[in-house]
Amino acid sequence: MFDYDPDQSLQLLLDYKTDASALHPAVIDALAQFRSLDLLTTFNSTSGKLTTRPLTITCTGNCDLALVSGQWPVRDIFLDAPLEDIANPIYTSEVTLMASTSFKRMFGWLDSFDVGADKAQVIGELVSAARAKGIKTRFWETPRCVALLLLPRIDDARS
Amino acid sequence: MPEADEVYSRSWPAFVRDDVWRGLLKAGVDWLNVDDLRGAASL
Repeated sequence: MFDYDPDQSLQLLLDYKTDASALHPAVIDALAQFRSLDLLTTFNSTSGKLTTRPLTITCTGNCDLALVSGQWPVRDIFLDAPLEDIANPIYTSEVTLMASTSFKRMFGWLDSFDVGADKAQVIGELVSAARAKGIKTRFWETPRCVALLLLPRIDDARS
Repeated sequence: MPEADEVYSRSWPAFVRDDVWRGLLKAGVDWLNVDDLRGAASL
């Protein structure tokens, strides 16, 4: 990707599944090699400067704001903020560069056959609030249709 | 056994899924988690 677009930063999401207070320091240590090569996007709390580099690290899952804020004065692991709460002033581009939510949880599958005007307005307001803070947005648990594609292949494998 | 809503979510036709993806992108969403990179790339 770097060869095609050197200005594009690769977004690496780390999904914390265990105790974040124990895991986060280990992740900080594990990224030392990338840090030493100046590959990581950073926010310098002293200068207030965000520097975008080829690799942007975002923690999600059990990761929380206090842990991310605790990496100071130079932060290179950012929080995946809850998009539905993005208006909350605790979420700034100093600690989060991405806000996300589940499409399934926000609308439910039974009301998710399209993104009509009502849903587009709700989503658009969240996106605008995030962008005003310099934060990008992500939706997960979007629709999929794996079974219809896989079932014939399973039958083929058994024959 | 998968949950009922999980089965339901897997049974969507591709054109419905694609419409939702397009709608989200049109609303300004920057990134989507998707199960089908080839399908997403063809939007």
